[in-house]
Amino acid sequence: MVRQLASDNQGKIIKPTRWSANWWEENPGRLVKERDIMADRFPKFELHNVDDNLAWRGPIKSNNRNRYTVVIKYPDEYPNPSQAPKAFIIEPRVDMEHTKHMWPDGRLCLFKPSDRDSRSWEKRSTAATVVSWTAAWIFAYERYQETGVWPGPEAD
Amino acid sequence: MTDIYEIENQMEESEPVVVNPEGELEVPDGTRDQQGTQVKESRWY
Repeated sequence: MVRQLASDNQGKIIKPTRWSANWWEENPGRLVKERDIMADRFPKFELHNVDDNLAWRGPIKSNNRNRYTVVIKYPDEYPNPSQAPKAFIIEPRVDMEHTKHMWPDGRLCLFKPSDRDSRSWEKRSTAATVVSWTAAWIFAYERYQETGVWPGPEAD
Repeated sequence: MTDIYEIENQMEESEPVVVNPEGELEVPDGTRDQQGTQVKESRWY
């Protein structure tokens, strides 16, 4: 939920769209933390209010100097130790038939939830964590296109 | 389940928002161009 419009020189606060509180209303400090970390590490990313939830959109440039536009969408309940934000590449379109580690809905498969030894989603992880994993996914994707081998460990 | 096509449409239709110091969402006065420069004109006027 977002707030009623209030006109002033600093901008407009957004209207509410539903009665129940969203995660950022219940935990505004967490949203400020997410904002600060994203501004520090990925300042070109912009926050959008979509589908009654929040998503970051921004560019990632690969080692091969290709540009990707990615979207990181928060789950309805956040922070959630069992549900990470979802990562999508919306430009250029990644052909699901020619890659690995992508779910049927187009979401990137970034980690194995049961993997507690290396990369895993934790309550303290942030959207910036997911952006960095997405950058690693893009690196692996481009290597896979070149060599047919996905670098790094893969889940079964 | 949100899929990539829905995400694309939602992002095209949405405008960026900012988080104020209280953790509330606000629509910024100006919009940003592709270089990230703040645009002077407000789209609300």
